Amino acid sequence: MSTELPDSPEEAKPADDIFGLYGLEDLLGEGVEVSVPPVGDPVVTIAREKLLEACRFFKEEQGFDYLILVSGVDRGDHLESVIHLGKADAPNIVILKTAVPYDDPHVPSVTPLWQGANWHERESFDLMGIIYDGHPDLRRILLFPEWDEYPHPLRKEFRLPSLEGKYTVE
Amino acid sequence: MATETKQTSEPDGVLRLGGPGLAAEPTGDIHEIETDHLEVSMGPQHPSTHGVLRLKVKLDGEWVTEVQPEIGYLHRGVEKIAENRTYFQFLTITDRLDYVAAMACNAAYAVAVEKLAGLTVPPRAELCRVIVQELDRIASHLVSVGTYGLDLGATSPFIYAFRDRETILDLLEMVCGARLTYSYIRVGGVARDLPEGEWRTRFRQFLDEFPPMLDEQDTLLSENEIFLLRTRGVGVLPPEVAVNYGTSGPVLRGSGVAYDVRRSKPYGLYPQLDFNVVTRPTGDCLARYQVRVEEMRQSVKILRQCDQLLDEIPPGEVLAKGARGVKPAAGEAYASVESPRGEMGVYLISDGSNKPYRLKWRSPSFVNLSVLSAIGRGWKVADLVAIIGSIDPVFGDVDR
Amino acid sequence: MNLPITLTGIVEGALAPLGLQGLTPLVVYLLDALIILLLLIMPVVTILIWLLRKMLGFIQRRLGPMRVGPFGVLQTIADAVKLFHKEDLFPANADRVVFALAPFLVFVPAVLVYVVIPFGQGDGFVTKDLSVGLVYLTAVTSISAIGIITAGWSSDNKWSLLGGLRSAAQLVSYELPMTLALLGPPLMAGTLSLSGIVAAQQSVWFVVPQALGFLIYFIAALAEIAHLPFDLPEAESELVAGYNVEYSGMRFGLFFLGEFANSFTICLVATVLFLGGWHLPFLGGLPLTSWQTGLATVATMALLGGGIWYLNWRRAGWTSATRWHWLGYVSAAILAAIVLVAGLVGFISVVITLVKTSLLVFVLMWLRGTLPRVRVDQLMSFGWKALVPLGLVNFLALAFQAATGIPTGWVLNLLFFVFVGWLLLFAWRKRWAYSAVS
Repeated sequence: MSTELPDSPEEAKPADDIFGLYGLEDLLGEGVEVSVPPVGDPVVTIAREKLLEACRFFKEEQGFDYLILVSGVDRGDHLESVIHLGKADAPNIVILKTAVPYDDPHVPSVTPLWQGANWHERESFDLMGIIYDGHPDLRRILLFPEWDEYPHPLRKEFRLPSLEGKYTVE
Repeated sequence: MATETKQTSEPDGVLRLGGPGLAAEPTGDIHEIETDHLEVSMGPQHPSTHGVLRLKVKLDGEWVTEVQPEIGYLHRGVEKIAENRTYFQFLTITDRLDYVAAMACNAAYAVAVEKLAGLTVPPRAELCRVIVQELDRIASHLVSVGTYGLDLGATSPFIYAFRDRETILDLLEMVCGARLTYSYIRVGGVARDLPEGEWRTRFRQFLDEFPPMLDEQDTLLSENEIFLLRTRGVGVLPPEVAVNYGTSGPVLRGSGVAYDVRRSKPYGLYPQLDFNVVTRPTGDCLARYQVRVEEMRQSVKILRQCDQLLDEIPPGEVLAKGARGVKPAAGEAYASVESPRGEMGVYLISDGSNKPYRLKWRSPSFVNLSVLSAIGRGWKVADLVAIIGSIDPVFGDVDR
Repeated sequence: MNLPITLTGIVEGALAPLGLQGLTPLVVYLLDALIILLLLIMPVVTILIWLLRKMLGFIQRRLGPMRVGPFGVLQTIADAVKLFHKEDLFPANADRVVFALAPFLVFVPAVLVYVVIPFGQGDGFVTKDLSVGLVYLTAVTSISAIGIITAGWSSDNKWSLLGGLRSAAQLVSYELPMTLALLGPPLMAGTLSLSGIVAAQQSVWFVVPQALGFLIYFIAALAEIAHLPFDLPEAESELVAGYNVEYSGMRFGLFFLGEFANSFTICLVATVLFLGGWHLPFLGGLPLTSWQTGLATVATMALLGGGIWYLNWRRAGWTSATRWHWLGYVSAAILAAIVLVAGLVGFISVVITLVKTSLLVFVLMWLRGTLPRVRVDQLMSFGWKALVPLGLVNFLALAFQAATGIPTGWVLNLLFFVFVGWLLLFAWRKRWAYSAVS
C-alpha cells in the first residue's frame, strides 16, 4: 500500500471530487442514496441488506481502507448506524448511514472488513442498543453487565438521572 | 530470539497476530506433565496499566497466550452529558477526556462545532491554537515517554521528562490559568490572546533549552542496550493491520504509515507550517517510542515558526463573532484534529437548538487500545507491559 | 586490638564472683557479635541506606529524604518505625507458617554474612574469622533464595507466585557464575579465610589479576540480590511487587531492609575479596605506621569528596545539594582526623573498607538510576550463555596458573582488558544512534 504523503502543504489540500461515488448507485441499484450536503462530507444512505456489499465496494473498489468511526444515532423515530470511512493516504471521507428500526435493531457488522469496527460496534451496542450481526464478540464494553435492566443510555428515552432522578443504580 | 511476527489467517478471515510464543509447540517429556494455564487479572489496580485498564491475561508460564482488555472503569457518559448542555457549556467537559492532552480535546470539539456552524476563526486565534496544541503535544509525549521508561524499570527518564513538562505546564498556566484542564481553545477561537512580555521570554527560552534537554533524556533510553533489547522487534504491528484497525498517531506512524491529521486532513494553521510527518518502518515498540521523541522535535520546529508568526500576525480579535451563543443549523459534521495519541474526531449532529443532538467522540486511545488483544499475544508478561506502554492509552479518553 | 581494658577482662571480672568463668569465651563472643551488629553494622546500614537514597535522588535531580533529621538522615529509622506500626496482614488462603517465616529467611542471612566479614585489620573487627569463611559466605547467601521462593509461593497470589518462580530460576542460575568467580581469590591467596584473603592482597589487589572474575562476581551478585537490571522477582511494573506483594508491616520492612542490606553485603564482599579490603592503593606494600596510614586516608577522603563536590558545583551551581555534600565530606575528614589522632589503626582500616564499599554501592545506585530491566529469557541466556562459560574459563585459567605457575590467568585478564578497551572505543564511535534516522 502507498504510505507516501505530499510533503509540501499545497499538495495536501483536500481534493474536492468524490471519487466516483455516483457510480455506486448504478452498482447497487435500489436502496442506495447519495447526497452531498453543503457542510461536511458525502453521505450514502444504504438499506441494511446492502450495507455489507456497499462497504466491500468502498473498501475494495474505492480504497477506503481506514475506518474512522462506527456510531449509532437515535433519530427519534428510528435508530441509525453511521459509518465514517476514510483513507490512510488521502483526505476523503465518506459517511454510510443505515436506518435501523427500534423493534428490530439489527444491522450487519463490518468487523470482518475492518477489525477496527470491533470496539466501535460493541460500544454502539452497549450504549445505543444496535445489534451487529456477525460480530465476533458482541458484549457490553463500557457499562457493567447489570445495566441490562436499564435502557441503553444514549437513546433519547433515557433521561439523565440528574435531570429526573430516575434510573439510579443502587 | 525470534523477532518476526507470526501471522496466520484463520478460516473466519480474522487476522491473528502475536509474538514468538504462539509458535512454541510443547515438545519433550516435560510437557507431558499436565499443566494449567494461569489466568490473571492485570489491573485495574496495576502499576503499569496507565490508569484503570484491566487485562484478562492467560499465561503459560511467562508466555501470554491470550489477552483481553476490559475497559469502562472510567466511563462517565460524556456523550450523554453533551446532549444536555449547550455547545459552550460542553467545552469544559472535553478537558476531562484526554486529560494528558486537554488542548487537543478542546481543539477537536471546537473545530467540529465551527465546521457545523460555519464559524471562521480569526487568524490570531488560529496561531494561539497551534502554539498551545504543540506545547501540549510535547507535554503529553513527555509523559508517555517518561512513563514508558518506568514501565521497563528505568526510573530516571520519568523524572527528567517531568522536569521539562513542568516548564510547559508553567507556560500554559500563564496562558490560561490551568495546568491540566485548560478550556483555553473555545468554539470560534481562544479564550484570550497569549500574554506578552515575560511569557514570550520564557517561551523562547524553552524553545532554546528544550532540544538539548530532550536529547539528554532520550540518551537514557534509546542509547541503552537493555532498552533496545526490550523494545526492538517486540509487539510488531504490520502497517496493513494498523490501518485495518483504524489506529492513528504514533501507533500508526510507528508502522510506517504517514497518516497525520495535520497533513492528511489539514485544519487551522497547519497547512502553512513546515514540519515532517515522522514515521518508522518497523512497527515495534521501539518505533513507536522513536516516533514520539521525534515528534517532539518536530513540534519544536513548528513552535519556532509560530514564534516568528507571533510577530507577523498582529494581536486582535481572538474569538469569532457570535461564537458564545452558537446555535448551528440542523445538520451534521465530522471534524478531527491530531491529538498526541492520534486522530481525535468529533461527530456532531445538530437539530437546530443550542444543544448538540448527538455527539460522538472518536478517541484515538480507544481505537489504538483495541489492537492490544491482537498484538499482545505470544509475548512474555514483561513484553505485554512494554506493548501497553508503547500504545500509550489515556483512560479518560478510552472510557469517556 | 590494643585497648587498655579488654572486653575479655571486663567480662571475666564480672563473671568471676558468680563462679562462671567457664562461660567467659561464650559471653565475650556473644557480646562481640552484639557490639559489632549494633554499633557498627546497624548504624552503617542505616546511614548507607540514607546515602543510597540521597544518591539516587541526586541522579534523578531531586533531593531525596529531607524531612526526618538533618538532611533526612533518620529517614530509614522513621520508615522502620512506621512499618512497625502497620498492621501485619495475612492473606486468607496463605500458608501461615511459611508466610510468617519467609521474611526472616531473607533478612537473617543478609545479616549473618557479616559474621565472617573482616571490616578492619585485627581480630577485633571480625566477629568470627572462620577458616572456611568463603564457604560459609556462599552457603549463607544462598539461603535468602529459599526465603524469596517461599514468600512467593505461600502468599497464594498469582503475581507473587510468578515472582517466586522467576526468582527460583534466576537465583539458582546466577549462583553458579557467582561461585565460580568467588573461587578465584582463594586460588591466589591459598586460604579460604576472608582475613587471609585480604592479607594476601597487600601488594596487589585481586581486582588487577582477576578483573574478569570481579566483573562476573559483580554482575552475578546483582542478579543474586535482584538488583535493578535483574530485579525481575519483584518487577514492580510487571508483577506489581512480585514475591512481596501480599506483605505488609514489618514483614515487608524486613524484605525492604534485607534488600538494602544485601546491596551493602555484595559490595562489602567484593571489597574484601577483590578490592584489597583495608589496604590503601599503592601503599599496601610499604611498611607504614598508623599515623601515615591515617594521613593517607584523610587525604584520600578529602580529595575524593572535594572532587565530587567540585563536579557537583560545576554542574549544579551553589545548591543545597552541593552545600551539604561539602559539609558531609568535611565532617567525614574531621572524623577521620580525630580517629587518626586517637591513633587507632584498626578504625582507620574500617574506614578504608567502608569507603571502598560505598564507592561500589554508588555504582549500584548508578545502575539503579539509569538502567531498565531485562526480560526473563534475556536474563537466563545471559547467565547461562555468557557468565557461566566465562566463569569456567576464568576459573580454569586461574587454577592452571595456581597449579603450574604458567600465568594463564594474567593472559586471560590482559585479553579481557583489551576487549573492554575495544568495546569502549567501539561504543564511543557508534553511539547506537537512532535519532539520526528521520
